Amino acid sequence: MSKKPTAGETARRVLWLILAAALLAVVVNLIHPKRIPWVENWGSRAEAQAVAEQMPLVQLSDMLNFLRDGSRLFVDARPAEEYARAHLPGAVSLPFQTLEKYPAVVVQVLASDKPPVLYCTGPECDDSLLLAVHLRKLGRKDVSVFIGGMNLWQSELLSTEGEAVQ
Amino acid sequence: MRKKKPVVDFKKAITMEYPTEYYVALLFGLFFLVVSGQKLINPLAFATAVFRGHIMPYPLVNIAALLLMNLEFAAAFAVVFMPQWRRAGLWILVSILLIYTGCVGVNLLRDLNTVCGCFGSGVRAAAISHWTLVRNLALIITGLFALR
Repeated sequence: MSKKPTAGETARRVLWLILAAALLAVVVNLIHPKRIPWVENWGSRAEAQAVAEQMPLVQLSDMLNFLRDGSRLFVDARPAEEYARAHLPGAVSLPFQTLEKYPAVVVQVLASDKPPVLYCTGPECDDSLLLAVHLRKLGRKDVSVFIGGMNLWQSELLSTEGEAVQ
Repeated sequence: MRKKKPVVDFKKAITMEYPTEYYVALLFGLFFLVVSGQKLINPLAFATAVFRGHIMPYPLVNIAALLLMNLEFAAAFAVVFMPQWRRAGLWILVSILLIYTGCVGVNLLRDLNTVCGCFGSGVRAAAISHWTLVRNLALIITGLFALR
């Protein structure tokens, strides 16, 4: 086996590897069929806003556990038509954009003995986050948000309820 | 003409005549080669994982993801295929692991329910926990052992 390099040699090689990696990153991202922009405004995503609001987030793995043990109330913040087409099993509809039409559902969610988990279409929509902030202001402190939303749920071919049952 | 001595004697390597550190380094490097390869195949998935750490300033997420995954790949390649550069590669991989572990630790302290994505976790990956820290620390110890 080759002789162990000195600390100086190793440090120089570390720098060379960093340089090579930077060059590789430029070249690979230039020719990659799934290349990504070097700079992107991730801060506008609902998840970034949720973290800024200190809103608890729920992952898909948590959602599967909640579905099994029935310990959470799923709340669909999308428009009613989208809810009618497909929604998470057992979810109640509370469309954020027309919230004033559903005072009874708001009361139901506020009074539920299960902590509500809110979702909307996916990481691009913020209806679930805005609704969660609203519910928190109304006194429901244990709300959380499933940012992946309906898109992530359906992409994993998980069962849904509604007209377009999966 | 004098025959050049090979850098790695494969016969010796197969008959386990090299020290244990050598084999640990190879396995460590291979592990990162596979993991970084997965990240390189789908850069957006890794950028999303970096974003979901919520530690990197958001405009720098993609830059950090691109540099990290390529650095991981270059270092792992050096560990596996370039014996003279093995130690440099190992130091880089251990440093990257320290960064990931630090991020997991910070997010555990912030009580942020997020996924690690350190090793290309899928969408059904469990959220970070103290076990994530233990796993990463075990890998760091493995890397340090290979550096002895």
